[in-house]
Amino acid sequence: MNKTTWKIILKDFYITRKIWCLLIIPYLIHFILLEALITSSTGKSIFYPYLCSGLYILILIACAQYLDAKHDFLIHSLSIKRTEQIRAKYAFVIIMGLISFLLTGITGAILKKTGLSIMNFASLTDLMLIIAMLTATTALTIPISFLIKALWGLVANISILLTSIFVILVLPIDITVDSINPWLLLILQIKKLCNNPHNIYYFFIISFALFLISYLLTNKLYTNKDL
Amino acid sequence: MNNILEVQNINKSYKDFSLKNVSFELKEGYIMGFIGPNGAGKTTVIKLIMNLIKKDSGSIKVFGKDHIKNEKEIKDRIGFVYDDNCYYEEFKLYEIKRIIAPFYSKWNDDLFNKYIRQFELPLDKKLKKLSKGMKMKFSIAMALSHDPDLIIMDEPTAGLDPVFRAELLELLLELMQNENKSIFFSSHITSDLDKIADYITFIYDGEILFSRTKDEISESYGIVKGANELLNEEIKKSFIHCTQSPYGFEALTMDIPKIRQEFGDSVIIERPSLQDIMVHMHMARRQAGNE
Repeated sequence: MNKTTWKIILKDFYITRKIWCLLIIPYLIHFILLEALITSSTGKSIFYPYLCSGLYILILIACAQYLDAKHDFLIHSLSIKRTEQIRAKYAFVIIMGLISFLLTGITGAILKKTGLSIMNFASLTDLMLIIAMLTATTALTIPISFLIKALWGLVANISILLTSIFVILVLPIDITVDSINPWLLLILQIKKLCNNPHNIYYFFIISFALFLISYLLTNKLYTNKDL
Repeated sequence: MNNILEVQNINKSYKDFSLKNVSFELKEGYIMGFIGPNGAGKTTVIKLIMNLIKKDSGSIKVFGKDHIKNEKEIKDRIGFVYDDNCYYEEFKLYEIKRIIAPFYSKWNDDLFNKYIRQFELPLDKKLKKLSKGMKMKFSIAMALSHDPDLIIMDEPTAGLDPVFRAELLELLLELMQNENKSIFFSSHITSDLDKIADYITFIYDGEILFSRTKDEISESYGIVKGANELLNEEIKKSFIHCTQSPYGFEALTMDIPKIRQEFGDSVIIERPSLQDIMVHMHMARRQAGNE
């Protein structure tokens, strides 16, 4: 990655700074309060933080993409190559995924250390996998957003919803009233899959493949697109 | 003198519109007015120069270099002003500056602050809170603050009041006199270009009708006014376009000597404004299309 790509990433962080500052506070509050509350009352750990961290990435990326797509005339009048712009967006997705993972992990560790949560190492592994998958899913929205200037937040949500529906259809589980929410079902399925080390391996491979396909597709189509 | 912008035989086709062999060149240190009615292809040509859209064929050179191969280097030396606001509306002016400035190697904060003071722009206000004129001033301040060698403006005066338009033209002239920049200025408000342009390129329905110096144009074309009785079919054919009213005719010609010889002092021949030329050519084309 060259200097311009980093400048674009910094620009994206700067542009979305208010959004992620506003998201990270409720995210941490939710994490701490709900995890502590549910652990103390039921003795069980919940998946709520996973959902939050996933949404967190999606919204951030969606915002950065949306802002850029609305202003592509501006972006492309600057001394930026389209390939640099694409590279920066994908790097941004990875960086946000890592930040999300680290923040969730650190907060989880603090909660565990202080005895507020009973989240174990397996939960952290689940979390890492979920973030990897959500990052890949988010990456899938990039070509759509670059190419058709869609409403990114919506695209990201639809994409995750479709993924969850797919998971539900392919791997049916017992649906309870609590898990009617497709988001929750998705998390349940991922957790279920993660119990098998083979599935973990496939998860990584699939996520990586999706990410790569998305990147190549965007490069192929967007670099020749009329703006 | 070097050509700062060379557009050669550009073709670009859409479903319902196409650019056909568009060619023109702008020399260093001059202002070129790019005129044409709405939908003639002005913005398409500018987008092609900026590599925002891909050409079907032809070549574009900016600063003597291919505009795609040397895209980054070229854009670093271009100040671009778009007719619509393309900046982040939700941000304050100083925030937008902070976002954009790192992308230019020669960004000059002193110059930016100078324009901000000159245009009386409130740096701590969100862009969306500014009027159209103020937004345009901000776009111009941003475009000029990295000391560009070529300024490309797409209809910068459209929808602005006459006072600001006059101010903008004055600023451009000042830039030309002091810093020897080149300006490519698209507009359908031809009176603005009458005041500042050295060269005029006229595009109509995707074709360049002419690209010449303003003096050449005013010497070549003439507006002929006279009584209707003087007209006959043969004479009408020698005009580019002719309109008649009960009080007489008004026509655009490119053959002033012939008209003088034909009519002598019985007609008045005036120098046409760019608007006269644009309107008459548009009518002539439309008439030809109907026939």
